[in-house]
Formats: sequence, C-alpha cells, structure tokens
Amino acid sequence: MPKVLVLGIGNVLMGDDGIGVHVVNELFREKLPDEVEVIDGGTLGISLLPLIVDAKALIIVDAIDADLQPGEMVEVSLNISHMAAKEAMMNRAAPLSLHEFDIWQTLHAAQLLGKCPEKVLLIGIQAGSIKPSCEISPALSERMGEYVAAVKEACLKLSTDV
Amino acid sequence: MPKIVIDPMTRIEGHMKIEATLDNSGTIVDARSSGVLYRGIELILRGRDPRDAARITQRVCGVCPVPHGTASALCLDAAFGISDKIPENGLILRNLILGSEYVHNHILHFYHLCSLDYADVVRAASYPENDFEALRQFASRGELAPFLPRYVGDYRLNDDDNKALVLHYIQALEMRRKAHDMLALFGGRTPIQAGIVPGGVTSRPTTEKMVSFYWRARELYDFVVNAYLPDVLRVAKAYSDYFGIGAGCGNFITFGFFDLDGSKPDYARRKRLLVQGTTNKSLKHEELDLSQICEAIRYSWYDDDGTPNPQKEGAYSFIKAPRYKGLTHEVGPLARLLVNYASGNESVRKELKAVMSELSIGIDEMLSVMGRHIARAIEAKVIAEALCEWVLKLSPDEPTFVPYELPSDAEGIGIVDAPRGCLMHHVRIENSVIANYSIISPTTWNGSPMDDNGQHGAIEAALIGAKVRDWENPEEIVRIVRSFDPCLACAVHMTNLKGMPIGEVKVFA
Repeated sequence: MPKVLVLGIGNVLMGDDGIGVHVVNELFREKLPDEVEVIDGGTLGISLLPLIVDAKALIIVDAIDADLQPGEMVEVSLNISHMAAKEAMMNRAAPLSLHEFDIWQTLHAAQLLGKCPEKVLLIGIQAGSIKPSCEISPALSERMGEYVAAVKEACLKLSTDV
Repeated sequence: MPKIVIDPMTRIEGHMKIEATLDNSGTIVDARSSGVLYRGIELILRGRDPRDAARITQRVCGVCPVPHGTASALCLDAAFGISDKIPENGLILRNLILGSEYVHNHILHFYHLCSLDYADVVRAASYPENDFEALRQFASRGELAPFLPRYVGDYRLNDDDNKALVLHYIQALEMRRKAHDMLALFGGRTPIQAGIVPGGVTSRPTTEKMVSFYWRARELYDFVVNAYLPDVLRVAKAYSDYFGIGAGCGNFITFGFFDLDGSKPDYARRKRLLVQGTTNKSLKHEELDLSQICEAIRYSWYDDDGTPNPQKEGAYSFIKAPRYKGLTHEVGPLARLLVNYASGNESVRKELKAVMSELSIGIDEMLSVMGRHIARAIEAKVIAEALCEWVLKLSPDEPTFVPYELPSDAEGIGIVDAPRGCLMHHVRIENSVIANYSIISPTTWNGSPMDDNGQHGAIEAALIGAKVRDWENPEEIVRIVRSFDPCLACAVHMTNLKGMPIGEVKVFA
C-alpha cells in the first residue's frame, strides 16, 4: 500500500486536458521513493476510489482552468472544503450516465466512507487548447520538465511527512 | 417552452443528446436521440492481427469494457472454428468475469446515479445514528450540495426507508469495490480486463483465488438481497406513478448470456443462464433469428456507402437505427427479464412473480421507468447467486484455454448481452489480418434515431407521450432516460413546437 499516490488525470484524446497523464508518463522514468506510487488515472473517475482510499497522501496532477496563461502551474493544498472543489461540484451537470463521475465526486465518496487521504495536493496546469487531439500545446510541452520536477519535489516532501 | 440544456462533461467517452418537443400542456410530442460523436474503433482494427480485437474493442467503453472483450472473443472463437471447443473452465471463468461486471454495474447505476433522485440526503444528515456521522460533517460544513439534485426535490420516502437508501448508498461504494476485486481476480485488472481471450481465459483458477472470489460473491449476494432489491421496492412503492411513465416501444430482444453449455457452435441456440429471444406484451417467447436484424441510416449521418457525413440533410445522429423484423426493439435488463419470463426461466419467473405480488402490479406496469429498475435488481440477484455456484465448479488442474491456428481467411459473429443490452461483434479476416470489423452496441438499439419508416428509437418512444409537469424541473425526462442506463452521456434539450428556443436555463440533477 503506497503512502503517497500520484494520480495523473485527464483525457489524452482532448489535447491539453490530458496534461496530467502526460506528466505521470514522464514520472514513470524518474526514481522516486518506494512509498510513492504513480498511476495514470485517465478518465476513470469513481473507479479510482479503491486506490484513493488506500493512500495516506494524494497528489492529483490535472489540467485546470484558472484564467492563467496556458502552461502556468499552481499547487493547491486541498481539503475537500476547498473552494475549487466546491465550485467544481456546484457547477456540475446532471449525471445521466455512468460516464460522468469525476475526481471531485470520487473524493467526496472517499470522505463519505471516512477514508479520504489526510493530505490532498492538486498540481494544476492551466490548459490552453482542449479539443480532439493527441498533442499538447507547445506552451505546456515546453514546460514539462518544470511540472515533473514540481511533482517529484512534492512526492519527496509528502513521503517524509506522512 | 424554454430550451433546457444539461451540459455534457468534457471527459466522457461519448456524447448523446436528447431533444424533446412539448405541446402547451407539457406533453412530449416528439423526441430525438442523437449520438454526436463518431466511433472509429472499427477503423483502427483494420489491418491488425485479429487477436488484438479482444483487447482493443474493450476501449469502446470505459464503463462496460468486459462485454466488448467477451463479444469479441466469441466472434474470434467462431472465426477460428473453436466456438464449441472452449474448455469448461474457460466458459466458467468468462461467466465469472462478466458476471462481476454486471452486478457491479447494476449496483452503481441504482445507488450512485439514481437513488439520490429519491432519497433525501438533507434529512439523512439529521439522523442521530453513527452511520450518518460523515454526512453530518458534510452538513455542518454546509457542503451537502454535491449530493442534492438541483431541481426541487420530489422526496416521498418515510424516515425508515430514507435511512436505508442513504446508508446503502454509502455501503454500495464498498460493494462496488468487492465486485471489481472479483473481476480482477480472474480478469487480471480492471477496467479493461486482460483475462478473456479467443480460446478461453488466460488466468488459472487456484483454490486460493476461488475462495477469495467466493466470499466476495457471497457478500455481494447478501447486499443485493438485503439492500439493493428491497431498496428498489421501497422506491417503487413510494413512486408508483413511475409504473405509468416511460413504457417505450413494447418489443423486446435479448442475445442472452452466461453460457452454460459450450457444445453448440451457434450462439443464438446455445444454453445460456438468461436465454436469447424476443417477446412483446403478449409474453410469447420467440427464438432469435439474427438474419432479421438490419440497420437503417436515413436519419443517421452516413452516406449510403457508410461514409460518415455530418452534413447529411435531415439526419441527426451518428447512431444508426438497428431494427428486428423491421420493428423498434428495446434492449437491456427489462428486455432480458420479460424474454426470460416468457420463455419459462424458472428463477426469473419466481423473482418477478414475488415482486409483482408484493407491489400488486401486472406485466403492463413493468413496461415503465420503475419496471426497468426492478428488472435490474432482480437480474443482479439471479447473477450474484449464480456466481457463488459457478466459482465452486472450477477445476484447478484442468485447462482454461484451447490452442488454435490463426486462419488466413475467415468470418465470425459474436453475440452477448451487455448490462445495457444486445451486443454484436462481427469480424472478417483476410490474409490473417482484420479486413473488416463491425460492432452493434446496446445503446445503438435503445438510443437509435428514427428508421426509414419514421419509427422512433426505444428511448425516443419512451419519452413521447410523457408529461413534463414543470419545465424548470424536467425530472420526468431525466428519470426516463436514466432508467435505460444509456452508455453515452446525454444532453437533454427542450424546444417548443415551432422549434423556437425561448430561453435557456441550466438544469442540474
């Protein structure tokens, strides 16, 4: 059971939406502490719940829309009460099909079970272009090293903390 | 009448849009179901090793990959000439993997997609029992919103029933995990399992795995019997008006599933736990005749030669319109339940009769939103019970797989019912690679547009005639569409009779 779980989230078929997955694909080549597990979470949504409830700390790498310049990165220490999470939930559409469970609903489910990780860190990267494409924008791809370093540093810190 | 938009999410595997046209009394007079994304999986397969199909086709859907893997393996078995040679262990293991997916799907669908439409979470957060502590914490932080529908709640359950539903909503999260653990025990991983291949299954049943599977299956069965089915009945009693809503086309077809005997090469005739066939309100069972299936494309975005053409005049969907004997047919749990009831399937008859007698309803009422939920719950019970029995029939030292030669030229069809209904895979192999591959998936049947004769698809037919009491809270539409468990995400639009959108409101459920 990993102490720190790194989840790269997003749809690699939708351009910059898949940045989280691209970052963890790079991370697979890095040397990380034994307590860290890196997972390509794709668009799995609630199927990620069993992984999340087993982790002590969670790092989510994901595309965000925060009105920043494309490629800009933010690190937010989340608890579920965080406004970003709340906003994401409040603005959600009515789920009509099982395809529509996302990471926020999954975190809520973890909390309902009383098993949400103690620490949840979001490493968010401002998306530029979200449309059908397997490529990410240059504004993001040229900063890949920066994202990987940030996630790696967070892993090191959290794996000694928890 | 305003136009109401339910935004689809950006991260789904497919889009579906439904437009309902209402008259001034709020009755739906026309409905159009459209799939707005083109699925190119079949094109990806051309020129590849045929064995790849059982892996790649699972990617059609992240919610129900196993049925695609299974249909693909069956179709390749047929093409390789080994459909009647799969060893007993292989048949059982396929059933265990797919059965785990079924039970998982039905529990998830009812609790995590539908139940909060009926259960009042705000009231549950005021209950004193320890079980509701997590909810009370959400409430004390003012964060119950994620669990609430955004339209005015239509809550009718008494406190005892409400408690049960909310409590089981939380427990169902754990049950879902157990079902996925079961699936992965023999499927190797989930989602997109790696166990089912042409020839059988790759994993060997060890006693340890069998025991591990058995105990989880028992827990799952207990949950279905003591929570899921009773909860559906609780909802059915409080919302009995939904036995009169969303009847649909009245024709039903199923390919059946869970092979009990693999000695017949013809999938339409082999013995399955849930039988193949068709029926309608008359409840006369008819045997399946695959030659009676055809696909219409008059209202689909394809030219006559099959080339995608989103500019095609009058068309409104990438979904084609499959019909059986020229008629619209509903697929899915209700279709399986009624076809099996009609064919004399004893375990199905026993369960359905008990439920109909408890609710004082007849078969006509089963053709409805609530009937579909009941059908799903009964099916979960029948399958969970079978899983417990099948796993004990595995023989750890016997083969799970039959070797085969890859043919240079061959053709095969595989049919199985996915949780949402009839699924057919067809392969043509030339020079040992895939020359052509085609898939007719369940939501193609239920979500199909009109056919060449103007007959509506099954979901369209279920919507037409329904009354929407309040256009700001179009819960009837949402509940009807959800009862089909569509495999695509849907956007629901409403326009007035003249097709003139007057306003646009965001609706959240």
